[in-house]
Amino acid sequence: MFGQRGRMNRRLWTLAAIFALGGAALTARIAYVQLMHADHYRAVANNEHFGQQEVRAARGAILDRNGYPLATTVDAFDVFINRADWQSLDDARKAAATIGPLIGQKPDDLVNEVRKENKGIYLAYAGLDFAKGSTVHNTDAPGLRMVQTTKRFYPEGDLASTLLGFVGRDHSGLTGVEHDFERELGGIPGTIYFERDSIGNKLSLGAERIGQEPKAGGDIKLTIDRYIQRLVEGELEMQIAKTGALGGSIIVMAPKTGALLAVASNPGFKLSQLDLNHPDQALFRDRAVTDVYEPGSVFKTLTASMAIDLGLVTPESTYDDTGAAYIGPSTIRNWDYSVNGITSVTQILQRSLNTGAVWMSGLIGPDAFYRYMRNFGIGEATHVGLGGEPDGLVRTNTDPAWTDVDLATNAFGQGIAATPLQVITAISSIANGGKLMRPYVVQEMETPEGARAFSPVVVRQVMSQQTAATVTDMMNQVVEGNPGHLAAIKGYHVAGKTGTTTGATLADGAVHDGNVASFIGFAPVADPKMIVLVKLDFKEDRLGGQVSAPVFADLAPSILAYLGVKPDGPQLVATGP
Amino acid sequence: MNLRNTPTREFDFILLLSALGLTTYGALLIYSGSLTTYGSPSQALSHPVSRQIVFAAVGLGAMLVLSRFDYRAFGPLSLTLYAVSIAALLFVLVVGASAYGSRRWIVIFGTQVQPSEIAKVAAVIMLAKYFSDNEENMQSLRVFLTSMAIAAVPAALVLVEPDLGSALVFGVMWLGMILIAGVRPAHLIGLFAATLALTPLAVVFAQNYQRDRIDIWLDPNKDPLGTGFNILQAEISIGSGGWFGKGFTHGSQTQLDYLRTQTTDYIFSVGAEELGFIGAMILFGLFIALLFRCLRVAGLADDAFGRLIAVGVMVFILFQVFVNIGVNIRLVPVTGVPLPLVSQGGSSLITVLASLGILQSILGHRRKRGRRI
Repeated sequence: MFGQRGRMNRRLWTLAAIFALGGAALTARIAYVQLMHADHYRAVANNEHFGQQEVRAARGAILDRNGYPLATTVDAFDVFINRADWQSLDDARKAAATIGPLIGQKPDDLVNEVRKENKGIYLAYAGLDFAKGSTVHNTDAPGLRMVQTTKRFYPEGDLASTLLGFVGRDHSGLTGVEHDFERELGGIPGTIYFERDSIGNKLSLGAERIGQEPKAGGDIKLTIDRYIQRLVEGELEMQIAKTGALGGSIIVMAPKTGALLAVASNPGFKLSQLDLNHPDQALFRDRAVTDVYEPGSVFKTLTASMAIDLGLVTPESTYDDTGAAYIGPSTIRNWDYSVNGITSVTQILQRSLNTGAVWMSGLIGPDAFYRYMRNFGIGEATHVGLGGEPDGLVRTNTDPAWTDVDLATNAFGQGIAATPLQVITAISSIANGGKLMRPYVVQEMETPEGARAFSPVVVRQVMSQQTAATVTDMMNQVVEGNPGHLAAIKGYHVAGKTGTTTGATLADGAVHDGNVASFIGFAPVADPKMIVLVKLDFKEDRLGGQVSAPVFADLAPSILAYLGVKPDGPQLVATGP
Repeated sequence: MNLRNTPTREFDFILLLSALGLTTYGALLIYSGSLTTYGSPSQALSHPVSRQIVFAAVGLGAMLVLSRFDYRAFGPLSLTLYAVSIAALLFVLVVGASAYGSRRWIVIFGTQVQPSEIAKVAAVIMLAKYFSDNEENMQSLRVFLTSMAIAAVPAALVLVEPDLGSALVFGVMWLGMILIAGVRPAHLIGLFAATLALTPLAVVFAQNYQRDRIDIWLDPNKDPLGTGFNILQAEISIGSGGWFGKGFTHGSQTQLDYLRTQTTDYIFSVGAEELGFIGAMILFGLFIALLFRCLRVAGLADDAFGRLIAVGVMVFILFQVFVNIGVNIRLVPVTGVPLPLVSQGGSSLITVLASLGILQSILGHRRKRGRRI
C-alpha cells in the first residue's frame, strides 16, 4: 500500500517535472526575447509605430536676368478619390458632380473610371488650381480628398522650355536647368515623424514630432533675357515656317562676358502641354547645347585668325586660286566650283573659298592648327554648367587615323563636329579682343551655403588683340563689302560669316540628307554687344547666306535697340539719291 | 473530531484564488486589448470584459455546484457525457459557424459555444472511468489501444474542423493520464516508434496550410505583412516590453492595433508588452500555483477515478498554457489554442472553472482523511 502510494507520487512528480521543463523552455525563450533583445524589439516597434513623412521644401524659382520669373512654384491641390467611398452610386454621382467640372471631366466618365475597382485611392487630377480647389476643399462630397500640394508654374508660358526643363511629379527636376541645379532649387526636404496604426494611417491624436524643418530651395537667376528669348523663339518659328526648314537653333550671347542671352531650339516641347510619352524624346534636350553638327565655313574665321596671329598672312596677302586644292589623292574645290585667280585673305572670307582655307592651313601646319583649335575650345565642353554637354569630335594629327585631308577640310569647318554653343563661344573670342570667355547661363543663385554670383571667366587669350581686331574687320568686310549681303542691317556695323554643310543633324541625332545653313554675326563692330548664331537644318540644299543671314538681320536691330546700343552705322537714315 | 472530509472544509481556496487570479489577470488584459475597438462606456454591456465577467460568474457557480456534487456520480454518466460531446462535435461540423476558415462553434441563444472545450472534459472523465475500471489490466495492449481510441475520436473530429491545437490537447491529455494510470513502457515505446515511422508520411500528406505554417514559423520574415504578421508582431510586442513593460494600457503594439486577436490567441503578448517580464512571471507564478494544487488533488484523491480526472484536467490546462504561450513567443508553430482562464471566450473559461469544481469535489468527497503531499 505504502509502496504503491510512493510509485504514484513518483509518477505525479515526473509529470510535474515535464511541465517544469516546458515552463523552463518558455521562460528561457521569453527572457531571450524580452530581456536580452529588448532594445532590438523596441527599435523595431518604434520603426513600425512612427511613420515618416517627407515634407517637401518649397522649390526655388528660375528668374530671367532682370528677375522676371520663368518658372516658379504655386500652391495647388491634388484631387484624390477614395474608391471605397464611391461604391454607392448615389454618393459617387453626387461627388462627381462637384469635382468633375473643375477637373474637366464628365461626371459620368469619372464615376465609371473610379468604380472600376472597389478599393484604393484614385488620383483624379494633379495640380488643380488653388483657387478652383479651394471651392471644394472643405465640401462633404463623399470620398473626395483634396490634398494641398504645389505645382510648377510658368509665368512666361512655354518660353525657354528646353533650357528650363521640367520637374517630375515628385517635384524634382528631370531635365534642363531644373535638373542641373536641383541641389540649389530643390531645397532640403524636412521630415515629420508621426505615430501610425498597423495599416499605416496617421493617428489623429497620435504623437508627432518634426524631425527636420524643410529648407526652401533658392532662386536661380539666369543670364537669359525673357524679351530676347521670346524674340528669338518667335523668329525661329517664323523662319522655319517660311523656309521650310526641318528645325534650327539660335543662340544669342554677350561676347564680352560669355553670358547667354537666349538659347532656342525648334522643334522643342511645350511646358504647358508636357507629354512625356512623346515618341521623340530628343525634343526634351536643349539641342543647342547637347547636339553636335559640322560647323562649315564659319570656321574659316578661326583659320584666318590663326594665320594672321602667327604672322603668316595679312588680310592683303594673296594666293592664286585655281579652283582646286590637291591633298594627296583628294581634290578640294570651292563650294561654287569657282576659279578666282589672285585672291586676298579678306576675299577668301568674303567669297568663302575652300581652296583659300586649305592654303592657309598649309601655311599654319597641323601642330599649330590643332593647338589653336584646342585654344578656341573646340574639342572640349564649354563647361557652361548645363547637363549633357559633349566635347565634340576633333581628329588631330596625334590621332593615328588622321591624314592631311583632315587638316585641309577642318580648315573650312568640315570633318569636325561641335555644338552650336562651342561654335559661338569660339568665334565670340574674335569679337572680344581675342579672349575666350567661358559661357554661362546662371548669373546668381542661392545655394544652401549662401548666395553666389557668377562673374565672367576668361578662359584664355586665344589670339592677340590686334589679330582679333583685324579678323573682326575682315568679317565686317564679309557683310558690308558684299553689296546686298542679307545680314547687313541699318544703323549698325556688322561682322559675320556664313556656313553651309551637308548632312543636317536632326533632333533624333541621326544625320539626314540635306544641309545645315548657318550664320554667325556680331555687332556693333567697334564694340560688340551681342553675337548671334543662327543654324537652320534643311532637307534640301540651302545656303547659309540666303536663309540664315536674313534671320540675323531680323533679330539684330531689335536686340541691339533693346540692349540700348547706340547705332554706329551710317545707314540709319536712307541716304540714297 | 469528525474524521470525515466535507466539501466545505476541504474546499481548496488556494486553487480557487489562483484560478480567480488568472481570470482577473485575463479580464484586465482583455480590457486593455479591447480599448481600440471598445472605447466608450455606452458599450458596457457588450464589452468583452463584461461578458468575460459574466462567463466567470457562471464558471464559478458551476465550480461551487460541482464541488458539492460527488464526482463518483460521473462514473456511470461518463459514457453518456462522452457520447453527447462526440455528437456535439459532429453537429458543429455540419452546422457550425465558421471563422477564419474553420468550423469550431455552434451558436446557442446568441452565444458561441465551442463543443471541443466541453469534449475535453468529457474525454477526461471517460478516460478516467475506463482506466479506473481496468486498473488491473493496465498492462494489456487492448486497454492501451481502446483508451487511445477514446481520445482519438474527439481528436479526429476537431482535427477536421480544423483545429490542430485542440486535437493535440486530446492526445497529450491521454498520454498524461495513461502515464499516471500505469502504462507498459513497451507500449509507449512502440507508439513512439510508430509515430516516428509515420512522420515522413505526415510530411507528405500534410495540408499545404500546415506546411506553410511550419515554414512561416521558422522564418516569419518570409511574409512579414501576410501570414508572418501576427507571429512577428507578437514577438515584437513581447520583446519591446522589456523587464517592466510599457505600462498597463500603454502598449503601443496593442493599442495601435499591430497585435491581432489580442484578447484571445495573443493575449499573452499584451501582458508581456504592457506588464513586461515581471508581468509574464506573475502569470507563470499563478499557473505554477494551479499546477501544484492540481497535483495535490491527484495525490490526495481517494481512488484512481478521482486521481486520473485531476491529472487529465491538469494536463489539458497546462498543455494549453504551454502551446498558447509557445505560439506567442514563436517556440511552437501557430495553433489556435486559448490561454486557459485568461483568454477571452466563455466556453473555455466556464469549462476550465467547472473542471476545477470537479477537482474540488474530489477533495471534498474523500472517505478517509488523506495525507497531504
